[in-house]
Amino acid sequence: MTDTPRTGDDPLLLCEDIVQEFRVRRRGAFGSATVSAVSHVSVSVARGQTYAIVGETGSGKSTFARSVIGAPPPRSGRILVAGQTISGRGRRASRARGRLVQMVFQDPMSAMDPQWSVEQIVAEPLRAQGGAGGRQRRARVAEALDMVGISPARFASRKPTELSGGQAQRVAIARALVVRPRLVILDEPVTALDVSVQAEILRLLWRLRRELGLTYLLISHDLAVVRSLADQVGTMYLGRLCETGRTEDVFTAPKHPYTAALLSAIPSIGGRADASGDGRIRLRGEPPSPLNPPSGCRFRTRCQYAQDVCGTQAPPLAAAADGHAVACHFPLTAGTAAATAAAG
Amino acid sequence: MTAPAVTPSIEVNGLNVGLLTPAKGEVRLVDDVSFAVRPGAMTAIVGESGAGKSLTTKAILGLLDTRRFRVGGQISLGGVDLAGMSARQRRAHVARTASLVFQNPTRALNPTMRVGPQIIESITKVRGTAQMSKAQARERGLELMRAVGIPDPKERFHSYPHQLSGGMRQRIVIAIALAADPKVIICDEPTSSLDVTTQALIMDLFDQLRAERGISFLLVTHDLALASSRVDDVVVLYAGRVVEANSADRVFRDAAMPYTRDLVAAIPDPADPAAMWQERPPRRSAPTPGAGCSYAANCAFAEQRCRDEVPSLLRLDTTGDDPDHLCRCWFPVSSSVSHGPLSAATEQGGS
Repeated sequence: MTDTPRTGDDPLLLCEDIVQEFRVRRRGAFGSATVSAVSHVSVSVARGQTYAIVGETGSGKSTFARSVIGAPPPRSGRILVAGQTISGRGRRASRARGRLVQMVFQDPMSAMDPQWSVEQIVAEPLRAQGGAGGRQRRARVAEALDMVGISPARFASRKPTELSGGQAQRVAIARALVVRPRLVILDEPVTALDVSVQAEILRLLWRLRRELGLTYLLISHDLAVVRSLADQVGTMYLGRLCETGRTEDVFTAPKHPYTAALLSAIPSIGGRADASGDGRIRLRGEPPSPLNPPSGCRFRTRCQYAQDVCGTQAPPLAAAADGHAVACHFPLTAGTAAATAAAG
Repeated sequence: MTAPAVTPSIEVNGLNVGLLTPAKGEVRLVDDVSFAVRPGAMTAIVGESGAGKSLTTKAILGLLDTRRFRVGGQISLGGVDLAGMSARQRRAHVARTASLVFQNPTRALNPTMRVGPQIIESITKVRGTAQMSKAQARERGLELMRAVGIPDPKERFHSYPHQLSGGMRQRIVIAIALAADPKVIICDEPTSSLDVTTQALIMDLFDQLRAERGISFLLVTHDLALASSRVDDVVVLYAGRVVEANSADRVFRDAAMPYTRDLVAAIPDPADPAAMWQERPPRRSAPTPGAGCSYAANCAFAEQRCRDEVPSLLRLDTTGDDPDHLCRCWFPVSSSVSHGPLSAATEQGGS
């Protein structure tokens, strides 16, 4: 807990030194190799806050989120939610997880059994936990549907195929809320939706967080969504946390070259971004394979500032006084960022 | 002030697509769509699901099943009107002038075939095997792989699609699209399944192909920011109709149609994230077909006339200040949309 950036006095989610690895069989060759999907990631989220993780495909952001809900639990490290350890592989940890943490997936339609009714879908986590009788269960389902703006009377018996994209995502959120969790993991919650529906769902998530005192762990590559919903943000690259801090600080003054490159790649309304440049930082090449990540700083093979030391020593995640932490030997300052922008 | 002499690469006039149903007869899904793409330019069609974006592109390429859809209106590709052609002539002409790039490169490629032969297949299909030796076709395939920025093309030639990253797969799909030396490439959400960093590189590649080969692009997307920042002209589609069109740098900023304005307002504004959280009345209903403006039921400015008569797509500004601005609305809104740039990165990047 020494170098974990702390956001408030009461972390609801505390992830310490999470490592997730998978063994894969090598095609054609003998033996197996280890994919280092998440490497020593520590995150702490205060109650009522939203922590967003951004990164490219293969950065390990989804794997990290999945290790929090225990699918599968981390290889090593400790996860605490509201003071309870949920990272174990035993039944006790698994029960605590189900009660404290729920997840909303990207594509609501494929996350639901098409044969089930809305009521059955929303009731499922309750049934999995047991303890609630039929009448009580029905009341809890109705309550959850009410919270997300779905009329239980009109929708309880419908099938997923009879719902619009926005309605389906509302039902998915109701299913997550029905067990009254403390932490909700949102994995690309609006990516599959139309722009106008996205705004409705984002407003709903924002309102629910305030009314129910929820804490969110948000996985997204839509940085406009991250900017509007998240208090804190962390960027991941090849399984490591590169930078973390208050969303506004990270977005306005990124310190890690990777964060800067990611931010500058986002198109914006009213901004021009031709090949000619205007300050866009282009990444060289493709992300290396997580089977064989580069030594030292994992980003160095694509970094324009890389020096010899980057190949030999992995930079530690060093936090400044304001909690803005960066894992880089040569972090960007306002000066270098401007120079890069001018050089194109 | 459009240049009069240039023949557009794609010209669509009054395109209609009707779905033939046994119960309700013909249901109009695309209604009176008109636009043009200049040679070497990129036009984006933006809209939400069900707006008719994909149907429009399929109608242009003649990919709609004539037993289920009725297509009307005038379509020219590469300066040639398709109307007078037989089905066979039309197919040949479309294959020579236009290519299609799909959203999901994984599904567009044959998973059981190495990527090199897939490129060669499309080369020989267009040129005919007689005119080209195997070695020549292979050389041309490698050339195309180089042109789309694939490193080590000789090595990648023998890769299977699953051995390549998403961005590389999309480059292979683009190489296949280039095989016919097309004048036009139509892209249906070409970067939606890719990371933003890869998306930027693919858009750079499109810019390069426009500059070097004069290829025109028609980009179908739901990403307003991408359309606004990376193309020349934008056509906004809603419920099968063009509701607004303008140059990309002005279309969202100077939006006059309430639908376009609502769409822009739905995107979180980083300069003022809190503005996002004001409760707004939800969409009351789906687009209204038939009489009147399709957005009337959801529009804050709608009056009786909007419910009774369909407005025409008209040039908004006749004085010449905003020459390309077309708008389909009885009561266009004149003030600029107050919406900051989307990301802080671009705020800094301007210097």
